[in-house]
Amino acid sequence: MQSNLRVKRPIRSKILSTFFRLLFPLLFVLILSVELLLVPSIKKISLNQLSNSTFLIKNSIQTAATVAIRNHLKTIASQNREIAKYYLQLVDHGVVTREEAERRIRQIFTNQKVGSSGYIYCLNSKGVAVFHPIKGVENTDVTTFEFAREQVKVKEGYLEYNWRNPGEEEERPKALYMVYFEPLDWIISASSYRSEFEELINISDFREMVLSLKFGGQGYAYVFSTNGNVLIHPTIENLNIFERKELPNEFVRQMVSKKRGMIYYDWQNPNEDKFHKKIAVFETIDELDWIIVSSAYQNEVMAPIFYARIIAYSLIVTMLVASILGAVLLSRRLTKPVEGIMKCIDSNTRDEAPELLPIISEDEFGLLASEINRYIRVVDEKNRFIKNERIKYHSVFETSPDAIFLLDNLRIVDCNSKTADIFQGEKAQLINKSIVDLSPKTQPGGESSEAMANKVVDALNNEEIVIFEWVHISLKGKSFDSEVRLKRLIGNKSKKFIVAFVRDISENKKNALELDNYRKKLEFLVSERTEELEATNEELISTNEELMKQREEQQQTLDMLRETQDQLIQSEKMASLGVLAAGVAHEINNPLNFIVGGVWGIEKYVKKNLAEHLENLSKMFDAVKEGVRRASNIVSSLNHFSRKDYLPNIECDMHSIIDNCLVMISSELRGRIVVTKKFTSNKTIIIGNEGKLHQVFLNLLLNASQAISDTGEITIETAVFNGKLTVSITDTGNGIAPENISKIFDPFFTTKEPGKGTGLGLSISKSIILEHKGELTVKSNLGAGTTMVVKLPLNT
Amino acid sequence: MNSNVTVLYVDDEPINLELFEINYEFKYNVITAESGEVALVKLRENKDVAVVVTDLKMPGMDGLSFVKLAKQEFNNIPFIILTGFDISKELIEALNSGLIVKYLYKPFNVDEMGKIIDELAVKPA
Repeated sequence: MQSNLRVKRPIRSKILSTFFRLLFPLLFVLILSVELLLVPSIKKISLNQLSNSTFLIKNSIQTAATVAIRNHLKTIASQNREIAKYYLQLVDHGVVTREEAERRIRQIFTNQKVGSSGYIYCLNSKGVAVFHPIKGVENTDVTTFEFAREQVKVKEGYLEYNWRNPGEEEERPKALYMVYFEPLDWIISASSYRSEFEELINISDFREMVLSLKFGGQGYAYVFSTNGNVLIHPTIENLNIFERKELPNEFVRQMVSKKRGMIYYDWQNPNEDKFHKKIAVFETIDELDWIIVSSAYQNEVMAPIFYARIIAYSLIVTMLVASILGAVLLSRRLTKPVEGIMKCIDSNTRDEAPELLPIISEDEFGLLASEINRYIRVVDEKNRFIKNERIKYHSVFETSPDAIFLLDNLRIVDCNSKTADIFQGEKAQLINKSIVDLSPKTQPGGESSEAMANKVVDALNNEEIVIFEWVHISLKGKSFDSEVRLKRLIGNKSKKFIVAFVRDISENKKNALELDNYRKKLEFLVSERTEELEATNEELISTNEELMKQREEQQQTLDMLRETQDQLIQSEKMASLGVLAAGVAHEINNPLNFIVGGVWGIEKYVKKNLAEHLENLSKMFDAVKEGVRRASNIVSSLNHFSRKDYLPNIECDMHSIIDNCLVMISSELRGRIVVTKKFTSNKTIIIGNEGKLHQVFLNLLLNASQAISDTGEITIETAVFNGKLTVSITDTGNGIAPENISKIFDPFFTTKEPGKGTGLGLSISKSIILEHKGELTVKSNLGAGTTMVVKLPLNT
Repeated sequence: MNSNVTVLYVDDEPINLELFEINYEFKYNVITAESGEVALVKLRENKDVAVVVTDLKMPGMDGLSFVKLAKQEFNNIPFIILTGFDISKELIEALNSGLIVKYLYKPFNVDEMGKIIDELAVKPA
């Protein structure tokens, strides 16, 4: 199973969202503080500068004005005191009377004017207006006025106050300077309305100060009078702004009417082709009707705000970017080891051998990795254990001699190979098949397989094993008897599964049937045999007698065995002779060949060249030839002993062999010997070497004939008994002396005259008969005749 | 020699070879060899050999081995074994397989041998 390594909500996005959640309020606060605190305060600072400057100019001008007025009034007051003093000196000198002097003083004082509407008045130290140009006021106590009480108190100095003359609508600012003239106890006061001292102030005194002020680079201050005369201005001076239509003047009117405050306006200098947005703070000096303006270009004033904004917002953007980057980097640092761990775990879900995580750090991930490694090892160990267990149980499952299958109700969920075996198909063909598909329509009882199967399965409880017989049908359609064991699997999850053990018992059934048949047959046989036994018992009694007879026969056989033993010794002798003969034969035959060849050559030579000697030599030639013939005969006869059984054995009819031999020796027998044949009517076929058998009987018949010196009789009798053919050749000849009987089969033993026999005939005959698994025996009575008996196994 | 039949006689005994030559001196063109090895050389030298007579027991290559080798080269020539030994299994097999056409014993009859050679020489090889 391959896991899906895609993360639905990666840590990166979580970290990012957390960052944003924290960051956004912060940024909001930051933006708010920039916009609501920083920007207004910068604005305020800029405007403060403007208003401070405005006030500075105003104060300077006012101060200058006050000083000028004070000095002006002081001079007037002091001059009048000198006048008063002069007249009193005149009194002292007796030039005039005191009254005259006082009258003149009053006249001079009255005729004086301070400014355009100011005047001189005098109070005494008691606060009574001792002199006043307005006649109603003179000789009245004026201490009801604040400034009058102040005058009485200080007597000399400058004083500013507001005053309303009778009949006037409002108070006007006034200023006075007073000096005290003691001789008269007069406080001489020169008072004037302050607005009337405009001419006392020289505007050019302030020009330098005003124009030196600069606001934000290009901003400047200027002064104009309320009637539109431009008093101080860096570019437009000495003109009336209301008269110059090309210049904007609406804002001037506003300033005139508002007197003080702040204003935004557009300004265009002469010779300039564009408007500047400006901001200005203005103040009106009421006494002078001057308006002091400190103006600045808006863009310049706002520049700090602009920079502050740029700094603030770029800081915000930097913070944002840094935060995102930080979040990404952090998340990568966090997720990278996690990805490694996930990859490793993922690979472990596929591979056989578990892969351990590399411990790359000593942080929590390192700990996690080592914990996972521990887990992997534990799981791997468990897996291996489970795998081994599985293999074990699987091998038990697979090697079971019974078919085992797992059923989900009637459906095969799993099965072993034995199941496939007995159902003659593949495992895959069986999986998901229903048991009903593998059964005939009906079971032997006649009930349908489906109904029966359902019944069995439904009745199955958790404990017992149900054993029953069932007829199944293999996938190839072969039906077979089976023994089924059902057991419900225990355990919550496997509760619905049933394990079935199925054994093919059709063979058992067949065997049982056969066994039954055998039993019945056996019972029958036993009863039959019992009867037979009874009959046999009787036979046995008679057989017993026969056994006694056989014992005698055995005795005879024992005798025969002894005889055979002798014969074996005999044949051994002959065999050793054969080995000797084979070696010698070649060595003798070659010299014999020299002789034959030589004699033949000599004879031919004599015939051709010495024909007259031939008659005398022929006997000698014959003698040599005869000698060689005999020697050669002996050598070739000896070969019989060494011959192996390599000549083909064929079916030979003994009667015809005997007949042939009689023909061959007929010249020997004719007229001398009577041959009587007593042949059996049975078949006398034996398997053997026809030539050798000819040799044997030729030899025996020749011996018989030669034993008869004159005339006589030869009787040939054949008989078949016990699968053996017996041929007896009896002659009426000389017989064999008893002392020679035992020697007649020895090689080279002969009683014949020299040249008539080699002494090998009988020994060769004996060896041939032995080769044919037969016997050659002799019975003889000296003088009465001899019987040679040949016994050979018949071809049956 | 009144015949153009060439006979090769192989025997390790020089006397046998001499006598064979003498006895058939006027009948056949006789070539002799004292061993199988020499006989093979002589066969290759004389392409007109009609019949080969060979001894069986010879030092070195024996008669049957010689015949087997010679037969590979001269399949059409009839071979006769002339020996002092009795017939053996090997000889019977050689007869049955056609390796040799005849088997004769020593001492042999010169006239009989002559008849056999004549018959074999006349037969188209």
